[in-house]
Amino acid sequence: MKPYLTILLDSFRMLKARTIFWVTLAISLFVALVHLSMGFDETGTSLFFGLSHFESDMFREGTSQSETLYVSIFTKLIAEYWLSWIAVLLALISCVSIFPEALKEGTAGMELTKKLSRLKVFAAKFVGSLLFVTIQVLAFVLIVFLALRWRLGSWNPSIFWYVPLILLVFTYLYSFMIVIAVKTRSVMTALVLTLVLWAISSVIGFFEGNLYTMIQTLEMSKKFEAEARESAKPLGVDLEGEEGGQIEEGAEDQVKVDDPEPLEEPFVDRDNGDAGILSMKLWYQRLLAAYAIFPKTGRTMEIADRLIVVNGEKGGAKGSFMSIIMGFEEEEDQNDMFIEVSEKAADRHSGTYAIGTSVLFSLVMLVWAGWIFCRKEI
Amino acid sequence: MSDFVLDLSGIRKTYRGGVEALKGIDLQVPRGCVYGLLGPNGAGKSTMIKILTTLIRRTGGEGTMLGKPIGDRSVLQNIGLLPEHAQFPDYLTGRQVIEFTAGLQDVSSLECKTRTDSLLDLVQMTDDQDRKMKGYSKGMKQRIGIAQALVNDPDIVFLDEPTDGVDPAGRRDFRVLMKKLREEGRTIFINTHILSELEPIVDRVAIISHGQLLGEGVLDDLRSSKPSYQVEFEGRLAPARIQAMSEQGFTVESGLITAATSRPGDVQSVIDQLRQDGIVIVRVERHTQSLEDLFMGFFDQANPSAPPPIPGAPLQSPAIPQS
Repeated sequence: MKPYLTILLDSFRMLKARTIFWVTLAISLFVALVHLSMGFDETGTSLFFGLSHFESDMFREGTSQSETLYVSIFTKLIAEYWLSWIAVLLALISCVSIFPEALKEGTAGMELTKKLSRLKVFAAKFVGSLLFVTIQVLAFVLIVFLALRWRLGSWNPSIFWYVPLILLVFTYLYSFMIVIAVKTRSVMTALVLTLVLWAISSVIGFFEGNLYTMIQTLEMSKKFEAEARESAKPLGVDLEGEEGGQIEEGAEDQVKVDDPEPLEEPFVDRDNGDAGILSMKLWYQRLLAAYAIFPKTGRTMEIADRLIVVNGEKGGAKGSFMSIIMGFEEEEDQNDMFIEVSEKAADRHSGTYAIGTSVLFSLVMLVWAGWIFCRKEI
Repeated sequence: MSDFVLDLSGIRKTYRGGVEALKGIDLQVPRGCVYGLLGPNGAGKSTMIKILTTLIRRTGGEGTMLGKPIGDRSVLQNIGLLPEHAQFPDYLTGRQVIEFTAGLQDVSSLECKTRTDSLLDLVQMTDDQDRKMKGYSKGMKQRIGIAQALVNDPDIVFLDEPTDGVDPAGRRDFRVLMKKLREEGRTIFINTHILSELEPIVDRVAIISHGQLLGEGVLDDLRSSKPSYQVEFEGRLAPARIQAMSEQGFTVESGLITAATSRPGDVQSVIDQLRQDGIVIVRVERHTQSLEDLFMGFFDQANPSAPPPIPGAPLQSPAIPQS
C-alpha cells in the first residue's frame, strides 16, 4: 500500500507544484468571492460587499425571488460556464502531462522499475488527478455553500452534487486524454485531440437536442393543428386554407367569436411537412447513434438542474436563467406546446443513460490506456 | 544460492524496425564485485539494464537476477537503479527524492529516516538536502541519484552512465564514492562509455559493441593477458639498428621500444644493443594494457575495418542508434 500511496502523493505534489494549480484555485476563489459579495437587505440587493446597491421589491431580503436569483446565479451562470467549461479545461491542462511524464525514459526509470506493478502506478496517477480536480471543485463549492447560508440564511447541501458531476465530466475527457498521452507521449497531441473530442461531443449533443426539439415542435404543431381542425369541423370552418375551400354562411362570425386569434397557417404543406419530418427523423437517428458513443458532458451537467434545491423545491433550477428569475408566464396556447416540447426534450434521455454510456466510454478508454501503459517499452 | 547475482544466457533484443540492440549476451556477475559494462554509445548497454529492470522485454534468451527469472517484478525490491538521464522531480528536495524512492520500495518510515540520513552523509549532501532539485548542479543530482538507488539497501545497484555530464570534480567524487561502496561489499553494475571512470574502481569488465559481447573477465587478468616491456631512451637510433630490431620483433617508435613479451630475458638484448650504440636508457618497464588499450584491442578485433577512435574521447559507435 505504501508504494501506491507514494505515487498518489507524488502526483498531487507535482500538480501542486505547477503554477496553473494555483491560478485555477485563485480564479475559482475569486469567482466564489464575487458570488459571496452579493447580498440582500430590506430594500434591495447589494453587490461587492455593499459597494453597489440597488432597490428592488422583488429581490430583497426574505423574498423567494431573491433565493431563486442567488442560487440561479450559481447554477445557471457560474456552474454552467465556469465549472462546466473553464474549470474543466484548466484541470485538463493541469493534468495532461502526468502520463507522458511517467513514460519519459528518465522518469520511468525511477517509478516503473520498482516492485509496484505498472497497473498500480497507472491507477495511482489516475486517482491522483481526480484528487486534484476534487480539491479544486470542492473548495469552490464549499465557499458557495457557505455563501448561500450567509446570504439566504439556510443550508443548501444539494449544490454539492456539482462535485461528482464535474468529476464525471472531467473523467470522460481525461480518460480519452490518457489514451492519447500514453500512446503518443505527447502533451500537445493529447490536449488538442481531447479538446477536439470535447468539441465534437458538444456539437453532436447540441444538434441532437435541437433536432429532437424541432421534430417534437413540428409534430406537436401538426397535432395542435389537427385538434383545431377537429374542433372547427362542426362549425364547417376550413382551416387548411385549401383552394376552393369555403366557409359556411354564418360560421365566419362564429369563429371570430369563439376563436378571436385563429391558428396560423401551417408553415409547410402537410405532404412536404411529413417528408421533412421523416428526413429529420432519419438524421436524428444517425445523430442519436453517434451521441450514444460519445461522452455526454453537457447532458451530465444538466442533471444538476434536477437535483439542485431552490426555495425548498428539488429541480427548481430547471429552465433558462431568465425564465427562472422572472417566473416567465407566456401566452397559454403557445406556452402549452412550448412547455410540453421542453419537458419532452429535457426528459428524452435519462440521467442513467447519459452517465451510464459516458462512464462506459471512460472505462473502455481507461482499460485501453492501462493496457498500453503496462505494455509500453521505454 | 548462486554466487552470481546476475546470470544471463543468450539475451537478445530486437526493436521494432528490426534494429538488433543485443545479439545474444552471456554474462555472469559475481556477488560483491564492481562490474563494468563497457561500450560505445549505442552498443546495447542501456538496453541490457532496461531488460533487467523490466522497462523493456527481451526478445530471447534466459537468465536469473538474484536467483529469480528475468522479468520477475518481486526481485526489483532488492535492486537499486540510477537510470541514464535520470529525471528527478524538480519540485522535490534532495531528501524528498530519496524518501520518494524509499516509499516506492516499501521501506518502513523508521528505516527510511535512518537510511536517508546516512546516505545523505555518504554522498556529502547533508547540508543541501532541503534544497529543491531544480537548484542542484548535475553532480549534486547524480549524488542524490546514487543515494536514492541505495535507500532500499539493495543486493545489486545499477548505475547507467553515472558520470555523464558531470564535471571533473564530480567525477572524482564519484570514484571516491564507488570505492566506499565497494568497501561495503555491495554489488555494483556500472554502464559507461567513459573508460577512465571504470579503471580505478572495477573488478570485472565486460566489453560490448554492436550488441555483442567482445570480452569479459577480471580486469587485472585481461590487462595482463598481453603484457609487454617498454624501453624508453634518449638519442637517435641508426636506421640499420631500427631495421634490425624490427626484424627481431620489437616495435620501435620515437624514443620508445616495445617488446611484446612477458619474459624479462627477451628484453635484455634490446638493452645490450642500445648500450652498444651509446644510447642513454631512461626507463625499462613492464607494461600492462590500460582499459582503453584493452577496449581498442577487442574493438579492432571485432571491427577490423572501423576507423580508430580519437584518443581520449568518449567512445562512439557509428552504426547502432542510442538504445
